[in-house]
Amino acid sequence: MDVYLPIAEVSVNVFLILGMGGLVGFLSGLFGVGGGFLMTPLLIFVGIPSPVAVATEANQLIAASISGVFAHWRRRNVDFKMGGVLLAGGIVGSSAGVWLFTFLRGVGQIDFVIRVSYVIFLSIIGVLMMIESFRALTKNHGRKISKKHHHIWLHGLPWKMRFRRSQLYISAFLPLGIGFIVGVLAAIMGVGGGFIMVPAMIYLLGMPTVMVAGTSLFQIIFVAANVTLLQSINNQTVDVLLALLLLIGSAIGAQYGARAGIKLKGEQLRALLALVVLGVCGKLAYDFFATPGDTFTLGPLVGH
Amino acid sequence: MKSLRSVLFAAVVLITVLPVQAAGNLVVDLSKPSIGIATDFIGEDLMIFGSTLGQGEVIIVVRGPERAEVVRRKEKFSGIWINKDSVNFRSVPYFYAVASTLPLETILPEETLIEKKIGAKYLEFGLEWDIRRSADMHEFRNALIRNKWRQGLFSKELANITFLGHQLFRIDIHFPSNVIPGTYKIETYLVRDKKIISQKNKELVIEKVGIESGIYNFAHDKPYYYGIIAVFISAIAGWLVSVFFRKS
Repeated sequence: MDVYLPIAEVSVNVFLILGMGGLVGFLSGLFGVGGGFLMTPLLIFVGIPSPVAVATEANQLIAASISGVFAHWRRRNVDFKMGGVLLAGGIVGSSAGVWLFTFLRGVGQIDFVIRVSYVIFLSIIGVLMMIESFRALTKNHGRKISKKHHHIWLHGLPWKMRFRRSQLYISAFLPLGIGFIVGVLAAIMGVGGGFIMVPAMIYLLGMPTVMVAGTSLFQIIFVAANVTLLQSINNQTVDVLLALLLLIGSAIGAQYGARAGIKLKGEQLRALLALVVLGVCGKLAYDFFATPGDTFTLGPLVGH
Repeated sequence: MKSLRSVLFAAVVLITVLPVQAAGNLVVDLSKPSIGIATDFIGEDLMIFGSTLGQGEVIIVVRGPERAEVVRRKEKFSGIWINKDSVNFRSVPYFYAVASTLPLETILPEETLIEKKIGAKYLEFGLEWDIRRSADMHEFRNALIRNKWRQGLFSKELANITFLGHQLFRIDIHFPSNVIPGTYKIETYLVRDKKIISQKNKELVIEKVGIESGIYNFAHDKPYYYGIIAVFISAIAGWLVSVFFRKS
């Protein structure tokens, strides 16, 4: 059954989109990852124009993070103050990101930038996950025992703030800066940025691990909403019909993923996810080096 | 005497028949006046049919709405293919198809084809010609046509109009699923002795219908509200998912 998407202006198979939503939702439920970093490339692979894929994924992300944040909220694992500061950075970052996106689209480099960003970040995540799962699989638990608060120059920044829930007293510039960077990425790549946010919160801010996921999800809701709004206004690239299909698929997938996660062995699965990530990354990277079938491309003239 | 009579007869024939012929020697119609793009749109065929009085060849040109397009060329930059040069075309028909009973060049001189914009290779596309980049310009223009072929929006081959008997003709034109809404012009020419002796214009409206048109128009006319609603739909959906799956 084919459905014509009003904004993407292409015809796609409903079950393919639902299936993709389900698969990515399953993985995100299983591993507790956002899944945006897999969904956007998949959408591009099936022929959704990349500006529409990115903007629509941001829209779908609102739903995914809201449904996720409730679970953490009930367990009181959300640091709203920290979330608020991250969010302030995130709003500025995502606004700058959408502006950059519009500019790059005008000069014809947006497709390239989206793909490059994906290749860079997917290869980093993929390799890190691979290393981690290999370590676990070979039972070589050589985890470095690092101090929770090892001081680097970043901690010497002024404008210190107290975050009671996270038991931290740090410069507000740190979460502001992290929020800003993740906001830019959210706008350009259509991702929640959990894969950067989470390690940054643990290693740079030194937040307690239990607080990280909930706080990150909390601020992603608003950053994604900001991106959705600005993309709608500047580029008209948010396809609500596509977002709705993805949302249904991923909501169902995530539930099964979460259940499966309890029963299945984590480490093999993590290696498998790493392979999926590297596979997607490899396909994107290959397209850069492979000689294109036609070196000329055609597109509408925008921004003139 | 005999020659005078035949001249007179010819004159009478010319006076009485020709005006009628000139006005009504070509009749054209479409199988439908409009095509709707709904959620289940996967492309559609349009039949163009008509009749001619007397001998002649028929050419049909279908032109979609025009818009500005840009052709970009990728170049290898330290192993990576990246967009570099580009050329803007101010008026490119989104869709373009030509059908004829015989190859175009055999029935009309090139000047006429250029003047009437018949055949993709005779179109200018609103290109601002830069004489210093002449060779390049040709390449970009050809690339434009090639890309349109690949997208199924320009017909690669000249479609063959078939005559049913001597006077009735018909042709099916396929509009793929990636056509855009707008007014499509359908020009039919009757050609005799390397001259266009009659032309008929018809219009086909392609429009988004139902929920498609609603969503598209809303997104473009009221982008602020569209954005806000998109956020709300997603937010409510997320909340519903959370409530629904907690209970089950």
